[in-house]
Amino acid sequence: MSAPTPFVPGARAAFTLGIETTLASRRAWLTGLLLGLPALLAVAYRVAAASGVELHLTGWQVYGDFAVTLYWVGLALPLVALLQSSGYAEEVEARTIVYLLTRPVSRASLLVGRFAAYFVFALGVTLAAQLATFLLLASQEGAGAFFGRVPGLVRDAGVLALALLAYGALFTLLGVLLRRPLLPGLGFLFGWELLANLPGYLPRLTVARHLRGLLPYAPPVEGLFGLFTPLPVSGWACLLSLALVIGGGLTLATLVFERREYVLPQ
Amino acid sequence: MSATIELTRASRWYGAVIALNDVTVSVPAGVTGLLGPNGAGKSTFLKLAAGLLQASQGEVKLLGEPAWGSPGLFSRVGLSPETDAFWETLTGLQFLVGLLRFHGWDEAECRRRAEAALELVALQDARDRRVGGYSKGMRQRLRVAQALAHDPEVLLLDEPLTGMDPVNRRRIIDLVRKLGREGRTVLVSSHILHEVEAMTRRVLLIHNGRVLAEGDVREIRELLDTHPHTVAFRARDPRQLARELVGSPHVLSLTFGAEGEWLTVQTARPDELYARVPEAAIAAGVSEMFATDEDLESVFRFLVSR
Repeated sequence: MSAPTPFVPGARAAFTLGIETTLASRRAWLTGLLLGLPALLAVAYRVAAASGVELHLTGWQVYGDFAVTLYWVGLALPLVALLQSSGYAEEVEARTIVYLLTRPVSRASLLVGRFAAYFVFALGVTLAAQLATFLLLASQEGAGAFFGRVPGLVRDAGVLALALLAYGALFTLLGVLLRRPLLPGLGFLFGWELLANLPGYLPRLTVARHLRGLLPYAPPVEGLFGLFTPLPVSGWACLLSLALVIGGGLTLATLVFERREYVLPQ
Repeated sequence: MSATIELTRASRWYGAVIALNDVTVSVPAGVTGLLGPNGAGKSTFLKLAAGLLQASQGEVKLLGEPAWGSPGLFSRVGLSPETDAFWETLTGLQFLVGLLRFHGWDEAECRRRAEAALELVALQDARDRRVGGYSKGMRQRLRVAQALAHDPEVLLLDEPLTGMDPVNRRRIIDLVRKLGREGRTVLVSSHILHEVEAMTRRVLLIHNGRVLAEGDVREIRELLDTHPHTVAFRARDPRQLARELVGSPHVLSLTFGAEGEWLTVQTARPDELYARVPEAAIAAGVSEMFATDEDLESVFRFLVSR
């Protein structure tokens, strides 16, 4: 039997190619813009504060409630995960997958390498945007308050990384299962994930609930959702659930990808 | 010669469409042409041989191993696909180096091999240009380059000459012949007989998912030569041309076109006809001449109906 290239060099090659193709794409700019929006907002906030405009929220509230909880965890990171990690469906659509499937590596190493490329790229952009937003907004109330909030920066970075991993694993699975995963993915994000706002146990079936369970912020909820209070979930339960989503999603995606036959359009 | 590609009662269907039907064939080392009209099943044959598709029925072996589910084989096999798809924002060199890394070589070795492959297909001057800016012929040559950059024992080339200019067409034909002489197995598909003839004498004829014939291209050429060829002439005086040709034993029929300046000739021996034409053509004032059924599809239909 001809032996394939070992797993790690194979995954490393897939990672490097994934990073190269991502960095050279227009989508990289779109991702940067999407994830960097709170940093721009933070600049606007500081300019407004310096100009004497009366602001109803403190910088820390804007950072924690809006930027981290509502924007990154609730919207931008799931969207970036959907755009970036469902890449195999895109390779099939663009018919470039033929080059990957004719390399002497296991499909598992292709999938893991490609997932790592998505994660490293998206996390790098996210953390840069988070750090800039934090520096601008958390320093508004003086040095003492700022240094007291630094541990929160590290915790938030961990939650953002978990969000990228969890949604990335789910959308990787969707990407190897479906030829066009974008619409079902959006349906999942703006349909199923809204269950996180309902009372009772239903929110525990969502990724969003377990991510929010790791954050201390409590963004104001308006409208009908404001009537409901989801049952609390412990931090450990949240971590365990997210680990299951990440591990289960990637394992299933690998199993499907290993066996799937890709018939390319002529 | 031992077979490097073996299909045993292999069939492949997509839903209700049968792309390859109960094919049993062996491909030995050297160059083999896979000849058939568009939609004959050539690409499916190559994808099955490359292990990109699984046979719906039967068995496909490559270098003695099952072609499907053996990723290690790709260190010994190169496939140049028909589909014109690339990561458009990468340069030609980045594209090749990126694919060579999957073989586990270090960066310097990948680069050395990529540069050598680009030189083989005369793309060294365009190596730092983005693939998105390449012409159709350059993209075709880059597909060939990625198939042979890792020095494989088996090369599967799907319509490798499409879109190439005459100089590079010649270059790739010479390259294929050289690879065959080196003892590699090269299976090259085409729907144009003279392209295949330029590369090899051994051909597989495929039509409607079945291998109709295999063997020396000269035998197939003789077989094809018994098929009536149709040649159309545009002449100032087509009746004069008809008078010159009507006595020839190889002319099967003559038909005048509706506009009064066309003559269509059916012949069993086109070579003999072409030999007689020059003198007759001068007298009749022939301005255009073309073979109407060089399309392989019509030749295959004829073969199937025999």
